[in-house]
Amino acid sequence: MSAVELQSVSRWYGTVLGLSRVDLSLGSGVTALLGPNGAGKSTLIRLVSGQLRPSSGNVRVFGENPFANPSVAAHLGLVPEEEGFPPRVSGKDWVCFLLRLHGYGSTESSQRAEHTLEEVRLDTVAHRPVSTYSRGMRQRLKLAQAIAHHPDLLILDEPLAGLDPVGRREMIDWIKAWGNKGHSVLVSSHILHEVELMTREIVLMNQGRVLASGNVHDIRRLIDAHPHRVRLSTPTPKILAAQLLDFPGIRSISFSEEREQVELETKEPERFYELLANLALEEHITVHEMTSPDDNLEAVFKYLVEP
Amino acid sequence: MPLHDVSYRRFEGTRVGGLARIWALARFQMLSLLKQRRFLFLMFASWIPAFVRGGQIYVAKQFPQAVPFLEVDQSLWRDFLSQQVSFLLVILVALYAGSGSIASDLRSGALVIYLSKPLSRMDYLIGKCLPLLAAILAVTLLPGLALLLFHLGLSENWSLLTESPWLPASILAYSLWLAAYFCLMVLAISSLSRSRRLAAVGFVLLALGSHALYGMAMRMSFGQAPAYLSLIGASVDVADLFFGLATENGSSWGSLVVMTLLMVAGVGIIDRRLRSSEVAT
Repeated sequence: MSAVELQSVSRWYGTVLGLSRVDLSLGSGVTALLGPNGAGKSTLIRLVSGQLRPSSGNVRVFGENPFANPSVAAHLGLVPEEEGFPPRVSGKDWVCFLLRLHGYGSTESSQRAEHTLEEVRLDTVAHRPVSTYSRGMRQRLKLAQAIAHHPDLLILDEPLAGLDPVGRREMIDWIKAWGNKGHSVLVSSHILHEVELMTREIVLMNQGRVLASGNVHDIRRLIDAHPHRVRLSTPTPKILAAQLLDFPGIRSISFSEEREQVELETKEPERFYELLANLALEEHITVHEMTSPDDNLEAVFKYLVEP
Repeated sequence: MPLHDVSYRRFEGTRVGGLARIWALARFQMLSLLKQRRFLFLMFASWIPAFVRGGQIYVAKQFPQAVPFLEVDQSLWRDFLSQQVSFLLVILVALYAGSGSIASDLRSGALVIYLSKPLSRMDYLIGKCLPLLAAILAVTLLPGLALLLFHLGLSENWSLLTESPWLPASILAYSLWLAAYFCLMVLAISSLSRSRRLAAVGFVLLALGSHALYGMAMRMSFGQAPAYLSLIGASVDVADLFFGLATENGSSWGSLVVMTLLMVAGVGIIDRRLRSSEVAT
């Protein structure tokens, strides 16, 4: 059973369309929710976390309707974009209090809060008021309150915002580790290169619609409108370029003898890779490196969101 | 971040029910209030009229010849509780404890976190109401009952209760009514703003503005204006009904109806705001 299932879900805010007939299914592991501002990411997160009711369609989380449903909320952890802390409260009291809202008794809440704050490296400042925390500490506290009850589905809205590079790296590693343990994690972000470090599974949104979902490479392969760029490092760029001219699937080709590089565009990448392997074997052409500059998240995002 | 053992740990103990969750929210709010010295000072100051009334009871008991001037009957409790409102003490307590209650959650985004927990909007509303109710009851019901016990302690017999058997129930019912009324009014205004200060100003404007309007209407109509024009006036006006005393003017029932309608409207406003907050954030 999918952790999250959306069937033809739409959501209007008055006359403004927030989400338009979205069909989506999310399983375990980390899935990134991508899109520019106003794409509908927050609306989707609020629908999944049961804080919004869809205008039409069905939202199911662990097979149940999540809207204002405490039994679903018990299995969710939400890291919202907003901070949401009362200023005078200490980190431990905050996590402890939110665990009490989950129905844990005072002893269990206290123990879980301590354990979780240790996990996110806030144990040394657990008794300090939240108002004295740095931005990174606050971000980790938001994470702590979301994972303290060990949710099956963790939803993070812009979790990297405000973190320094080390903090970002730690957060990315932590999210990956959480997903690798079999939990479902939905991360909304617009920092593409960092999302790419977390997961290859994406849901790309724009103007309230899901443009693509699945593995980044699979999605890229499906984008026919843009030929795939391939960059080859070779000591004999002129010879390689001449050999490749015969291949009908190549749209353009350029080479630089100074940089020992050949760059080409092809609409049939699979066939090209096969041909290249044959060329290398039969014509004894050396290829040191092969990269595909647009077979990544940024390119997919660019091609689909800004066509 | 070092990776600690975060493997799945299902809670094997017993989870408490919905009431305990509401209580957890209410307790958290109450403890936050009790940590503030200004609030504690306000609560103490709100008991001063009760000490004065206690002195009145003491004098009346020790100097029976003064009874015609210091008569102790159920009207003393009606006057005391009405004064707690008209002297603005209840207003100030409600203002301090309630003006930022929902506004702060809307501003900080805590509401989104609360509603992502197994807590319904109604649970949230009740959890927010309880500390406010407790604060208002602490300056109405508690001193009211304390005065009653003080009086009974000084009396050789319980003639007051024989003559007015419903007095404890009247104190309880009127205090609860006042608490519910001011609680919902201040929370409704709190929910309309994201700023605690703005909500406080709004509540003061509503309470004092409506009272000023009532005063003007009284002057223009030569004392015939209905008390329900004023938030404060209405709550003083209904006291006679709760204490079973002859109403001083004919608007008490009207005030009761208006207060009921305002409370219903208050719940409607809060509910609407709690729903719309999801869109706004």
